[in-house]
Amino acid sequence: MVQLTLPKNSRVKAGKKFPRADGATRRKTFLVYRWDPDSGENPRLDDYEVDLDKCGPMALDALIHIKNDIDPTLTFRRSCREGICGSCAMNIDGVNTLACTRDIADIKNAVRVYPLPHTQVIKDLVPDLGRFYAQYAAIKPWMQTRSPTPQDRERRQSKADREKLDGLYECILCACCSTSCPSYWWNSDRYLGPATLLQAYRWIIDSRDENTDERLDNLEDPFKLYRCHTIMNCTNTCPKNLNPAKAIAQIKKLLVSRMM
Amino acid sequence: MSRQTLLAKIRGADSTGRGDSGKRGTRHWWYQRLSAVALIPLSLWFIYDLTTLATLDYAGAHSWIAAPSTSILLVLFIPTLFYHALAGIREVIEDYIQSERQKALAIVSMKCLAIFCTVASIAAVIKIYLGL
Repeated sequence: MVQLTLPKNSRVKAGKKFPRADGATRRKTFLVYRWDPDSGENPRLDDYEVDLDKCGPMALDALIHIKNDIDPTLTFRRSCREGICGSCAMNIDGVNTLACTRDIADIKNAVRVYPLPHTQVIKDLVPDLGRFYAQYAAIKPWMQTRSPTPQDRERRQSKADREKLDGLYECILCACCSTSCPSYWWNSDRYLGPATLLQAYRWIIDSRDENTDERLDNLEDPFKLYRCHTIMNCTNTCPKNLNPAKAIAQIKKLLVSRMM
Repeated sequence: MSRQTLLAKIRGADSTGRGDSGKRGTRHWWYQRLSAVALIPLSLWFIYDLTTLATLDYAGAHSWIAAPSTSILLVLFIPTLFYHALAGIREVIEDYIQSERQKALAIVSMKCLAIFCTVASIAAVIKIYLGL
């Protein structure tokens, strides 16, 4: 059976309570998942109080403030701080999202910050996404053509064909959707997951790609594709408001019509 | 520990001899949908008729099944029902049981159970219909 509970050494314990934000008028408690691979201890939930007047409005601003001014040992990934790089994907207030676009003001009570669910944690809020990237590479996410490259111009695409890529090309591969999917939790060794399947569909319907049939062949598998049971967590959680569940449904439709 | 790269593992996931993978899945998915659609009218009919059965005695129920319209609908309903049930349970088994041996064993036993129930139910209907 799949493991439905955390192993003993992964259970989260109460952590350190850091000094309160003295003199702050607007304050917010952040409960942050901490795990240090070198300590040999269980993960813990550290308690920070942040003076909201000392940091920007987003959850990432608060995390950066904590790292700079309260506890420099806190580890997390971040880069663009504007929702385009996908580095700061984590679970905030129970939802996978980008810390840089999650407004603190939208969260009632204490802000609970965890790494992306059901991933191997490297340290604190940093998950191991090696398999996720390998799955992306496995669908060959580049244009595959047979006809020779036009000598004097680019490969042309009509406006209508280009519009088919809208809602797909915006995916930044932050892994919020895949790590929110129960099917991916149980079978990520074989199920490709919503992010990779959305990217696969992005190439399947690209009018310039000439390997559509091979791409569909590669997805025709009870595990790679058909572990999707339309749970829709992917669509609910996507911080870019994309619809991976719909892309997966489109792939299934193409496979059925090809079979007929 | 295997030194295979992650990409090799992901790409080889359909050729590692793990049994039930490979170039299929669409047919299973499609037939599950088809049987679901077929079951909508059939189950409505079956449930409606069952409520009227509550007031009947053994002879009444017997003659209900023996009626040609009921027999034909039952012979359509029973295999569709068990096919759909098996398809659904198979998905659950594939989702949650990770040992390949246990998985194969569970699927095969569920298949046998579904076939047995289908054959037994249809045989019973035919027996009643023919008045044997």
